[in-house]
Amino acid sequence: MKNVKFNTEKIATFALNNKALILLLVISIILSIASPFFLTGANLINVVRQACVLAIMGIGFTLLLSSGSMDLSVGNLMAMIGVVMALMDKAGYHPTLIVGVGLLVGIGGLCFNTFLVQTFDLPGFILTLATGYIFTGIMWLISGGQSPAGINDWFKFIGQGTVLGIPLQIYLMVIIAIIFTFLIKKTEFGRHSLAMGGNLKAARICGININKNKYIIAAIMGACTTVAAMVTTGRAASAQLSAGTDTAMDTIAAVVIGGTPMSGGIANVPGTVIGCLLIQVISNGLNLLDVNSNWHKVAKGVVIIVAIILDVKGTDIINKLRVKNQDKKAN
Amino acid sequence: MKDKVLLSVKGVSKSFIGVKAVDNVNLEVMEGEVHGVVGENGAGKSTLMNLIFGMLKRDSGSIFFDGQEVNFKGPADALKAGISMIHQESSLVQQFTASENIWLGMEERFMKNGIINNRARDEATQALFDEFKLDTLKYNMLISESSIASCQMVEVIRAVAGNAKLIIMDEPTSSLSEKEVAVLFRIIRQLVEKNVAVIYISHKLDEVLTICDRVSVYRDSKYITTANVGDINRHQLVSFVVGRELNNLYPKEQSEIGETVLEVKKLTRYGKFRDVSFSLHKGEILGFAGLQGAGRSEVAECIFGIEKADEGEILIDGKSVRIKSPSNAIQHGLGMVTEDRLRSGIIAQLSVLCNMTLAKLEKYCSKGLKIINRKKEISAVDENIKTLQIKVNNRNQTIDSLSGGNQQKVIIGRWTLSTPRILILDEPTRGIDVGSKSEIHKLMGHFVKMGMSIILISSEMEEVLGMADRIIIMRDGQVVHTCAREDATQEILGSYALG
Repeated sequence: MKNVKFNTEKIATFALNNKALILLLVISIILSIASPFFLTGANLINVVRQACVLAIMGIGFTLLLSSGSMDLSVGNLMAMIGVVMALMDKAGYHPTLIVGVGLLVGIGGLCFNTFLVQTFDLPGFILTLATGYIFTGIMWLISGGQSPAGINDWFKFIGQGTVLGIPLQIYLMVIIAIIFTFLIKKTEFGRHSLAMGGNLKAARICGININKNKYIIAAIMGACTTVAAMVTTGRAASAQLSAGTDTAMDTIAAVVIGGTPMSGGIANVPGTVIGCLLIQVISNGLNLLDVNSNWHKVAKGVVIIVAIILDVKGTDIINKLRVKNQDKKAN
Repeated sequence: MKDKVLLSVKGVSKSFIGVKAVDNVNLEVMEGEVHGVVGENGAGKSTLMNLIFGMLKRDSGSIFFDGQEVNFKGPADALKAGISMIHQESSLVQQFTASENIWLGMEERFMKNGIINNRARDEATQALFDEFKLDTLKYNMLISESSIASCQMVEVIRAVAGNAKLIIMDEPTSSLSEKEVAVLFRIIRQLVEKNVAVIYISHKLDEVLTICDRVSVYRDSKYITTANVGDINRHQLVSFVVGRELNNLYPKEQSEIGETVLEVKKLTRYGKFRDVSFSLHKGEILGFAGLQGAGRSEVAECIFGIEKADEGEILIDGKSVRIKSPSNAIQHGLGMVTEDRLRSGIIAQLSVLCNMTLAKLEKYCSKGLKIINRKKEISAVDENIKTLQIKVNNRNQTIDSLSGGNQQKVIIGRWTLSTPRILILDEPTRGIDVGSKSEIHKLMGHFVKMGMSIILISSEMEEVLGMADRIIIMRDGQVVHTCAREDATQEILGSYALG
């Protein structure tokens, strides 16, 4: 009997730490029964490809969130970068310059947010809501309200090209995921970032340069945003003016479902990738089942609520199970 | 006539996770009496008051109020019965006026058909202000724009408005000027005339001896005695408060004291402390005694670069240094275990390993990209766990799954791994079980033997007397006395600290 009880605790701990994976499997099984198209190679590659942009953003955001920062303007910034780069491409600039400027805008935009937050001690949540409006406004101003279309082949290749039959963006996502896992788990910078997210005051007392690290993290997130903007623009062959609307929220949702809590100190990069897949699978499945697209948002909302409840209550549940087991053992 | 018992606490105990916060204590307060409650930090005064006020539930014993045994479920019950408490931190709504605050929760009195008659309420407020001759207060003043003294008056008036028979005041004068204290005393005397009883908790014994009729003393969670103020003098009261035998908890080993490593000259931070000067020698433990709020932690925070000093100079090895941040301080060979382990010590989500190497992670990193050498890190941590005798199942378990004493040892271990020359320990053994406590004391002796210098801040006089080579006593932001351990006694420390 004892052994069985011990296992429930282990299973519960595993399930709660990998809730995104389990949700993904459950929903995938349901969908493969409900729709004959779901479990086909073409559809699965399509799902993964659609999840890539979100995942590239999400992986950067995992670092940002786990270090105790928040940024709601990343989606707006992504759309703006897409427009800037597409316009430059149409004007005939060299790709290196375009990518350079794109990175500069991405890094600069988020460092600007960090500057305001750190200098005036503002809550990032509200501040980045405001700068998001600024980014969107600038995007509409420079685009003149029209999506700049007709980009060059090199640009399209980033979003549409394949290498060895697999879309380029999947490679990008995997490489970024590996780099970030390494960065967070194996380097001083990663450890310091988690410490900042866990307890900023204690981190400062340990001699960590908070300001410098916040800027570095913003710059890294900015670079991710630029890469995501390039993939989105390349895939559609034109800059998407509405691309950024839900991006920040989708990103946060995927990151949190993946096991990186809002409260910081813990990062789960593979979890984020699975969280992104989950969100994409839900939307893909509802598409296949021909459900009205407005229901997609409702479904996404429900999944996020479930994930957050599990996130907040999960530790409680594990602790209760542990205490229960200890009591049983004591008796 | 002060002969009717209003409040009677008999044999009350309360434990927190096995530690007795109050142990079989008594308290008796008469109607219309001002009753002083004194004791050191951690003597159990706050817990006792929280038990009376219904914030905590007692484990055993009984409390009688107004002739009946009471079992308050929360402060609301206590308020209804006629007990009010004025906490050290204001419990007023900052955005409301004085009048709105005073009648908060009692608006019914001015209600008609569900609508509050604001004018009637404000008039009632002003009438109370007039009755107590509080001419500096106005019914419509905003709390956020009022002085601390005014806020306190408003809280007292709120208690009066609620027909309190007993008002508990917790350190009411800690942020008042002499003039304001005089006003408070006048109000207390007026309350007594109305047959209201006051429990007056204070570290300031002179005030207690001035305003109170009787005084009860608590020490180490136990009730010591109750005396008529007329029957005892200040000296006797001090010895009641601190008087206990030194035991053998403190195995301070003799270590060789060398040259000056740290010198602080006229360090000042406005509003916190001023003109603090001292020097620290190699191999020395320098104790900082005093009460909470005397400015000791603030001095340490300025030395370690957490806060900025306004004036003064810090010298390390005779050279003037400017420490702008903790990172600077660490470079200069300092380390600091802060007072509040939860808020500025541990990083709860991280493992024992991660917490321990955080202050000097670069020691285990490659140059350039700063990749952590896991092997090096693990072996350093494992060795440290062994030397500090930290009880862990696994170096990868999160630090918040350890007991308080072991958490504290991990934090101390964090700083020993950063190999500082000067270690500041701010209340290193507060809230820690006796076993861990003596182990930490042993470690301190060990550190100074190896040539480290320690600044020990502690509100526990025994600890300072047992561990420190020299002792600095601070009160109200100033150094009031410095002495060698041989010349120090509990009485000397107590009388300087209490002032």
